Parts: sequence; structure tokens; C-alpha cells
Amino acid sequence: MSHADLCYLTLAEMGRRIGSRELSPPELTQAHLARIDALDGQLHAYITVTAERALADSRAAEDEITRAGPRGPLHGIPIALKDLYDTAGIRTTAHSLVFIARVPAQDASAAAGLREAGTVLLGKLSMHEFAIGGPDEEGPFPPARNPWDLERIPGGSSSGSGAALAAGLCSGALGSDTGGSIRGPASLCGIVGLKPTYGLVSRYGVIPLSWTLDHAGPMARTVEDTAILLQAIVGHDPRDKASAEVPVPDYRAALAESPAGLRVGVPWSYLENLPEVDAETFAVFKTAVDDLSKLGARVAAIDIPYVEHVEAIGTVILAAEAYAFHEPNLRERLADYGRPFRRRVLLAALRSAADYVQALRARGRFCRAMQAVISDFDLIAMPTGPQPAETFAEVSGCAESADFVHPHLQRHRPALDLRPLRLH
Amino acid sequence: MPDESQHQDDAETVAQVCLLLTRAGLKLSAEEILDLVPLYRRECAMLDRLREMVEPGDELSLTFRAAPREHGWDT
Repeated sequence: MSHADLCYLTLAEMGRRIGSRELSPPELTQAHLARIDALDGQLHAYITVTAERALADSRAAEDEITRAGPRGPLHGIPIALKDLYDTAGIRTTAHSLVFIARVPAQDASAAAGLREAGTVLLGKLSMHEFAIGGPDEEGPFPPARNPWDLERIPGGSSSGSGAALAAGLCSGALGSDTGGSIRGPASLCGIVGLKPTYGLVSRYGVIPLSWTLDHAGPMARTVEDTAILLQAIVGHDPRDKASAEVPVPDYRAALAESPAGLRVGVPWSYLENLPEVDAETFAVFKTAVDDLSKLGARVAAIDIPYVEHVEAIGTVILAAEAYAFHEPNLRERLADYGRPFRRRVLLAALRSAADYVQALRARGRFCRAMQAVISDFDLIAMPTGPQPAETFAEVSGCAESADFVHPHLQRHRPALDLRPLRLH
Repeated sequence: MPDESQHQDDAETVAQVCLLLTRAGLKLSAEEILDLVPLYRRECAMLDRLREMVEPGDELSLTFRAAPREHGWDT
């Protein structure tokens, strides 16, 4: 098999072949490292490639599998982490000059979960600085590019995670989602990204952006692969005060359930009245909803309450909490932050504490109203965003275009982006 | 013909932004301050609409510390 063929296997299939000794972890790791070496000079998906450690870990995985069998479906699988997950002994920068030399002493809980599952860490992935803003050509590392078209953005802020998966430079990744940062790049790179329910995955050791909105979550090329990754990173963690103590189901087994009878709500009137929705994007979405209907799902129209306010609520809360985290460094090292970050976060310095409180009150009102609307549904279906990936020239110095991620975010409900494209 | 009241309004907004940045201990270039002004105006309008949305009796939604259950937690 060529390196490309190996690297585009699903994570589930890699695990199966490793378990049956048809594929070895070192062979798989070397294929990924060779592909990174060949392609990442153009893609810039990685900030740090941990090649030596990855090869050593892959050999250790092979020894253990030979001796005692695989720990599970992730044993020996090469993965990568957004560069805001702390990794013991490996530089973790959040793609910022501010943290350029920061080397954590221990792993983030989610990173530790993947390590304990036997994964092989290929390296740390590019992102928007501190998970906010946009691609910044003047930052300490070049911004990741979209493998489908290098002139276009891969979305953000988990830009490197989306680009690396779409290009076959890793087989699974972790991203983080505060205002769409997993779902956006998943959508624009044609992969799968899951923002789990708030509190399901520990954020301990994940550099914060906004404490009441941050979510850690998996990204992969298929839903099954995403479920496998999720299984390894969920669970109560007292070190994250928002971590929930709830039973953990078997996510992979749940994929076998039929969608027949699922109650699906779609905010048709909202989507149809937005002038910026791209016709092709909308057509793909309608086809997906039709497919759900054909599989037996019951689709009905809903209206999202306060929809004109939802993005504002998120913007105020997110920037205020981000500003609180960065305030000392903004005063002392303002020039070390990139322009896209400053444009978004400095606005919080111009608002009052009362503005933040009003946004929190508005969020409560929205949550109650939305709960009443969707209590009769199992899921709400929407496109992740209204437009295909923009070019770097189009987003230069500005935030990326609007998206539809906020209604799911404010309610702390899970949200999954599914790829509309085929990879080969 | 430039509108004088608009100039006055612009000057007051710039002064307000400068004051708030100074109070926050932030030293920005003139270019960056002017870059923030239209964003600040947009924010002010957005915040006015948010204030209209809330009603007496609306409480904070912090959702921090094991709050998912009250916000419709399910697995």
C-alpha cells in the first residue's frame, strides 16, 4: 500500500488491521511522518512534529501488542493535538508569541486519555492564536491552509486539526470549540467534528478561551472514528469544575441504531431568509435532510427564538472571559498578540461589567425559550455555515464569515458537523 | 458636504474609546484605536438590543460547575 492509501484508511480500519497484525504501528507512523514531511511545507498544519517520540512510542506499542494484544481500537494509532492541549515535555504555544517557549509539566486530561488508549502522538497542530481571531500571516507560525485549495482558509480556530485530517497527516485529532472552532474547520475541510455536550470532556490542561463556553472535542474523517476518539476522552474529572458526573455509554455501539423515528427539527424559515446562504451549500443540506426522511426520520420545521441575539450573546460573553484570562499579558505584552486576536478581545475592555451580566441573563432567557421549542425533537439539523471556504485574501485582517453554530453553543448541547464531501 | 454633527459624534466616540483603553491600562497605536471605533459602535448597538431582550426576573446563566443537568443535560 502507498503512504496515501495507508494514511487515508479510517481509524477504525487501522485499529482492526493492527489488531490482526496486518499493519504495524511503526509502519503506520512512518507513513504519516513521510506524508507530513512531503506536504506540510505547503499546508502548515503542524507547529511541532514529534517524530522521534512518535517512532519510539510506535515501537513500544508494537512490543506491547505483540506481548499482550491491543489495549483497544486506538492502540498504535497516530493522532495529533491542537496546540492548546498541554503535553508534558512538549512545547504548547496556543499559536502565540506570548506562549512561544511554554513547555507544560503534565498532559491535559484529554491528551492523557488518548495516551492511555495507546495512541501515538505525531505532534501539535496549528490554530488561530489562543483559539480566536483568524489566520494571521504575521504570527509566529504560518496559518494552516485548506488542503482542497491552498488559497482558501481551512476554518478555525482548530485550523491545523481540520487541514491535517483532510490531507491524511494524522488519523484523528482533538480540537476545541468556543464559538464554532471544531465545527467550522470540520465543515470547510470536509471531515467530521464533534462539539460534545458541555461538561462531557474535561478541559483540564486546555488553555482556556472562555470558561463558560469552552468545549474540548474530537475530530476525524468518519463518524465512527469520531466516536472511538470520544470514548477515550470522556469521563468525570474533578480538576475541571464543569465536568459532569454522568454514565458513559458505548458511543460506537450506538451508531448501529436506525435513524427511523428520529424527530428532526429544521429552522427552514430562518435559513431560507438569510441572504448570505450559498445556494450549493443549502442544496447539499436539503439533500441531507431528505436522506434522513427517507431513512425514516420525522422532519418538522421549527423557529429558533431570539435568533437575532444569539451571536451577540456569545460574542459578549466570549470576549469578556477571554479578556479576563489575558488581561495581565495584554497590559504588559500587547505587541506579542496578533492583530486578529487584538481586534476581537480588546473590545471587551470597552464594555462594562453590566454588559457581561446582561449577556448572561440573555443567555438564560434564550436557553429556556429554546428548550421549550426543541423538547419535542431529538436533534436540530442546520448547515454549519452559510458559505464555502473563503480565500485568505477575503479574510485578511478580519474575522471569518458568520456561521450557524451559536444556537447549539449557548445551550451547551452537543453539535456534530458531518462532511458533505467524499475524500477520494 | 461633511455633516458637522457626525464629526462631533465621531470625535466623542474616539475620545470615549481612548478613555476606556487608558482606564484598562492598554497602550494602542492611533491606527489601532481608529480601527476599533467602528467595531465599538457596532457593539454599542448590539448591546442596546441585548438590554431590550432581558426582562425583570431573568437570572444569570453561568452554567459553570456541574450545571449541565439544569440546562438539559443528556448523553
